[in-house]
Amino acid sequence: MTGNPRVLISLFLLTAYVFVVPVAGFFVTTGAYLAAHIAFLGIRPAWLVLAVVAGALIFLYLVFIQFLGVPIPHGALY
Amino acid sequence: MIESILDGFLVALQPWNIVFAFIGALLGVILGGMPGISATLGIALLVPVTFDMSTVGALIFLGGVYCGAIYGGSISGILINVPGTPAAVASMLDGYEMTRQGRGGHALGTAVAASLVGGQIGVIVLLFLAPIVAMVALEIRSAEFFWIVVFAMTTVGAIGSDSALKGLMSGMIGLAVATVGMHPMTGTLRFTFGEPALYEGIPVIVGLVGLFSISQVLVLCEGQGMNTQLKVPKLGSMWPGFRELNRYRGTFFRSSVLGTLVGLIPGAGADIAAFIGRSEARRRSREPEQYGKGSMEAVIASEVANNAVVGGSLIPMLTLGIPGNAVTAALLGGLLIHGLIPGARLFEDQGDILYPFMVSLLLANLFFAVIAFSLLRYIAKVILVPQGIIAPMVMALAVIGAFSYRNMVFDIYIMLALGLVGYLMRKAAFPLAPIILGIILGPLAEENLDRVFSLASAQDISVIQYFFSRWITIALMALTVATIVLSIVREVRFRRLGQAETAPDG
Repeated sequence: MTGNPRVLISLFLLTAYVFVVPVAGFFVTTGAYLAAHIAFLGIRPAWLVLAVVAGALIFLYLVFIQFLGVPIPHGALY
Repeated sequence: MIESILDGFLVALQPWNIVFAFIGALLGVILGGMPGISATLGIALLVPVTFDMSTVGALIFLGGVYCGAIYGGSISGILINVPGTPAAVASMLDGYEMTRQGRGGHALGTAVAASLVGGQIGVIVLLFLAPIVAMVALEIRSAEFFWIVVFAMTTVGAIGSDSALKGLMSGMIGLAVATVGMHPMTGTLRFTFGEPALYEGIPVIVGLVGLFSISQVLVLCEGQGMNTQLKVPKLGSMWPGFRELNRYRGTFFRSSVLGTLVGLIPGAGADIAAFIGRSEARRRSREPEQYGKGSMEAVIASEVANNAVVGGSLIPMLTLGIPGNAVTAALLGGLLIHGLIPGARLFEDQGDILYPFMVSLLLANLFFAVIAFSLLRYIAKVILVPQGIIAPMVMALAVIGAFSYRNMVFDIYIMLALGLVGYLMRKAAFPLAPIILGIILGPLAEENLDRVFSLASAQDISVIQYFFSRWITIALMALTVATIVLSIVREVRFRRLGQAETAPDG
């Protein structure tokens, strides 16, 4: 592959995300994934990462669940 | 035809459809403005939003995204020298130069005016030319349609990339992916490995999201996640003045025509149109020495051309169901979800949907211009969103998009796998547009070829004889061969010159 460790670790995070989603549910997994990946890609400080994750989850919930009613993978933890 | 256009206005001006066009244009400008999100990716990510909309509403919304994103790409190019979409590379050359000279506001305003004029002329040509092409297209039979698909895939593969060989190989990979699932005529299962999720083949939207979103997420992960050095430069006044723009009315006109024509050709997208528009304007310019040094004329020439492509590129897509580039392929993916089957009859059967859609593009162009002139000071901030935030967000949206089409977890796995394939191919300089074209057009080509087989056997002749018994198919075969020969000649010539031509995908 490219040998770029950033890409390899990112690919690992994407894979983990995709395989955990159907087990744990979309919102829990997405929150954990976003926090991990955003922090890994070098976004600082920590409160910014958390604010982005919280904002993203609320946004996704409002747009896709409340407004559009798009189905989303459910798991053990919602 | 005029009545159809007027009817189209009636539907397009219904309150909800106006809202869809507006939101589409707004989201298009914002997404297109973010570095790393192209018009193709923007549409791929927003298709799931349209699942519950009416067919007309969904098309109007996605059309707005297309118009807005092609314009929006110019914002980050002009302000920070990072093109938001490949189509914005040409206008960046002079636009960023203008910003460095403190004329950033004027550069942005010029780009808006140019995009608006180019976009509208392209759509007007679309409105009047598409019905004529559609009438001719009605005469198309299976044999011709099969060869049109082959021709389109050949041009997209050969023109749209540095290497014709790599482009054609990408197309073949797409066709191979399209064979997964049930045979369109006999129902035989192929390459499904007993997995029920694969019986209907790999859904276009899953392929689209995987190839374009996931590969882009990985590309964005390569670099620095956060750049604290960047800031939006001072803009100053945006309106460059009517008299100033009027000086270049010839450029406006020529670039519109060029851009629309380039849009018609399969394989050449907005990025190529912008460069052709710019170099043609330079050739005719009274001040060619200014090009590259902050020439307003150069910004106009490239921005007019890339927005005129929108209308032109929709002509083959709407009349034949054949997308000529990645963006229209993404749009067609959105169409398929709403049950519109691409093909020569699309225009005939679905005119009540297509006319409102085409007319709404005029509105979408107006909306992005209004949005740009009134809100650009705020929207321009999106160019500062760091890639470390964009990439994971794109991933989360991609998961929703892949899953929600059929409510199948398996589709998320397919998406990730295709994304990895797409990333590796991009690293090896293979273009992605031919793959998605193969996935969309493969089943159509196969179905028509099958029909040709039965027609030929009914006449007791071989398929080859059947193809050569019709002059349109002979012409299409000749064109296909000519495209390949010409692209090889071009490549050999470039290698002799020792310089590589750059042609980014999109």
